[in-house]
Amino acid sequence: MEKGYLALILHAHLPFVRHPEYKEFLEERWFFEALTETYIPLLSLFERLVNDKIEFHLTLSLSPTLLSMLNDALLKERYINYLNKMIELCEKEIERTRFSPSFHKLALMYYYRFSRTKDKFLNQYNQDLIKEFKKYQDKGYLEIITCAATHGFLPLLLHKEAVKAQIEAGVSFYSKIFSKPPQGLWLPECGYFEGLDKFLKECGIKYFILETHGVLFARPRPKFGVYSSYYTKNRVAIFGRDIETSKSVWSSIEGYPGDYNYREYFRDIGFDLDYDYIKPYISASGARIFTGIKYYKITGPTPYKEPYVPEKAREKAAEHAGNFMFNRERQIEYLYSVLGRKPIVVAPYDAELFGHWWFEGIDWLEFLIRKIKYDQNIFKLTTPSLYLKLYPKNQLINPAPSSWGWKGYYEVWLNGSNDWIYPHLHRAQEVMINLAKRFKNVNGEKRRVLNQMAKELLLAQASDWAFMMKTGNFSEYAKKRVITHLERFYLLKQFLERDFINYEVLEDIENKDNIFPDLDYSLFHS
Amino acid sequence: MRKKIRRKKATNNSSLKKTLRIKKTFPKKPTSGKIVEKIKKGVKKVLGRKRTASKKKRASEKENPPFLLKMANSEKEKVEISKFTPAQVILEEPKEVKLEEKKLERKTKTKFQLPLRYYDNRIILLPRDPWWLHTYWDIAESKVEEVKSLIPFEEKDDLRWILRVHNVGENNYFDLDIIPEACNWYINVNKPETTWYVDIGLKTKKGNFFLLASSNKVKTPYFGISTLQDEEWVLPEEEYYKILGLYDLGRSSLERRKKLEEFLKYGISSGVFSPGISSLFSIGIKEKQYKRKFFLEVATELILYGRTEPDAELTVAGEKVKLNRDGTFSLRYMLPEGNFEFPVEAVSQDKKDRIKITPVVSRSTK
Repeated sequence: MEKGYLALILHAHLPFVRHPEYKEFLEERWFFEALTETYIPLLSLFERLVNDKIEFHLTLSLSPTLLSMLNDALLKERYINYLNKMIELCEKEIERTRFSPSFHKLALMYYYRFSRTKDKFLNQYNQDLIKEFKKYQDKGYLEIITCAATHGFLPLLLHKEAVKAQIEAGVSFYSKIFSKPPQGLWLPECGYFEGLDKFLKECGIKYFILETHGVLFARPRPKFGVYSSYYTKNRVAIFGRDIETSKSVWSSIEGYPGDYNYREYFRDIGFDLDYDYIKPYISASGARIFTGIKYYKITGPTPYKEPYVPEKAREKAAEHAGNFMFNRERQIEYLYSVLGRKPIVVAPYDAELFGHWWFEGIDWLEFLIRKIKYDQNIFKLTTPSLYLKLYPKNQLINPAPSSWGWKGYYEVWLNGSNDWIYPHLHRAQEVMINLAKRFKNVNGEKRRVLNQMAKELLLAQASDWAFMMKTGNFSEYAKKRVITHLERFYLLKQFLERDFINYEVLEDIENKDNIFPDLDYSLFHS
Repeated sequence: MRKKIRRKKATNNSSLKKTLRIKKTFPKKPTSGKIVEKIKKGVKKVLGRKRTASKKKRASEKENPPFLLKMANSEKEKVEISKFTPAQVILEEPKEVKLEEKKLERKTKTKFQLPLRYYDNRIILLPRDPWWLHTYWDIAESKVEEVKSLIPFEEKDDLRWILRVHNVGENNYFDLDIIPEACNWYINVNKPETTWYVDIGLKTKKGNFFLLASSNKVKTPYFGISTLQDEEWVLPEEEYYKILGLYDLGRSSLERRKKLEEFLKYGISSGVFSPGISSLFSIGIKEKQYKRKFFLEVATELILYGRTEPDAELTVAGEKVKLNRDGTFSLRYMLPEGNFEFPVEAVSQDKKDRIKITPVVSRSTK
């Protein structure tokens, strides 16, 4: 009999980036890269495991913005164009590296990856990845949970109506797509504030995940540390993140992804190769960017890199999976002996870490799941829902406000680089709340305008914009997005006030920001 | 400390202004064909008679494209953007501007800018972490005048702008001098799990306070492991600390509490607890470790080119190469260190003629 459980939780999210007004848009590549490197490889991984009759349990959060993009016809079409372009580049690379065997092999590897991805996307999945993910949920392998509508950072939204709208919109979008309500909700950035559980409860959410100290600092003291479920006073279950498992994968220094045999993310042919040669495959503006074709391994703390050897890297991934499993066995054995109940070790990660950042991450995951099944019997994989079935009686605690951002609270989303957005966001929220009150149950064109206003507001609230402003990467784009959505919001408001709607403008905005087709503005009515 | 904050404020403000300036200079967006068609139709319908007039205007626009002006704009924009953006990140720049879209954009853009100010006499308080709060305000000049008129004449000089930070539980407060134009402030309250609100107002020399606006209440997040325990759910202290991975905390409970506090504080502030999140766009953290100030990277490639009969079959090292229509070919190869042979062979269409040429290249570094 097992002595405890490991709950692997992957949070897959991208902000809504879709620009029909441009022929090609740099930031849409985030989505294409994540598809190629993370989402499709994850599906292939599930497929292999199921084929080999390996039972597994995994929790996957698919954010509503990501689901919307997975569903979008324009982005699908553009993804195929992107793949074609990458395949063309790979063909050139195969030729270019013909007299350098260690690179030639890698060029072939990338060619194979891109063409196989295209084949799967078109022929096997019929461009519908959501259906594929749903399939594994229906078979009981995967527990798909939802997230706030546009990944708004809830502790800084100020108005309860705004918080509720984010949660409700996320829950109803999920329910429509997966034809059942979600059990769990991934709090954007694990951001929690006192009282948030009430809104989750109202939306039917059964559990959510917190950063370690969100549970550890709870009042009263949580008896089992982060190794058990708890309830809030509104009877929503909480799980806290384990530090050890998070460090061993996340940390770029002590963590597995920093191993010298793994692929080096920052050496990319988009930067390395002759400009004229690579120009057709980088940004339309001519700026060098990452193409995803990378030939070197981390090698060591040196700028001089050696060619990547996939077989060696795979061996390392297996070794690291073994190490991870061994550590969990010891951890769970120990916890079992002191806690007097079977512990749960909750290990949440950003899904895009696997495959995209940590190229070998998907291999690691596969080795880990197989090893857990065959090489030990101390613990099993589980999901929060399954654990709650096992332990429906739990201590009642008041979880601590926290986030999983740097320094553990709200600073990442509230500092000198991004604090200017909140005066604007909060006022817009207030406008929306008041309009929802004023225009109760209107129909026809006014409803259309109000619905679009609600979408613009939600899009402006995405935590990603504040995050990008903080890190400095793509900060200009992030600023532009917040401003653009709020400007569209106020423009639409003028239509209502003047009682004159410019349909070209309305249609144009609807076309650009076509997220959540069924969204109802009355969401903002308290 | 305060000085530091002030400087920070100043940069905040200017970055906001920059943002807005950039926004103005953003080039108008081109659009995909489909939407243009739609818009064209719409424009036809709505404009009706005005169409001829606008046609003339468009024509004149075409005659005198504001080319120089546009160049200046986009150059300026590039410079502006480069101040904020790392080298590899450059926003997509549209190549072609459709006039219809431009018109539409003008309608939507110029009239509807994000307000710079709201003049709604408000102050809002937000928690940042267990020790810091953030506040922003927007007090209309008229409101300031109104309040000033209430101040006795002899106290009207040397008024100071003050944030009065109230600790609700302890029912006390402290004052902070602020610069009103900063519009926001970070407040070090240094007290977790406490409820606060702030008043913004004017303070006279005599110490009288005149309120401009009062904020919402906010509670700083908790810090530390609770001493409060459920009877039903108690675990001995030593066991409990072991679960946290703490084995040697010392003997006295005071010593233990102190060590625990240090451990937790270190964990939080160093990022051990929340090692940060990565996402597709959070690159740069690790990259910086490798960034050198000065560097040189040299690589070589070889271009192999030539021509033959357009219908001939050409191979390089046994691999077939596709010829251009005129029979020319151009191939580029990565050229690492070493000796390389490039056997090029052409075979005529009727297979009767066969020519083989093998350039030999040796590449080394001095």
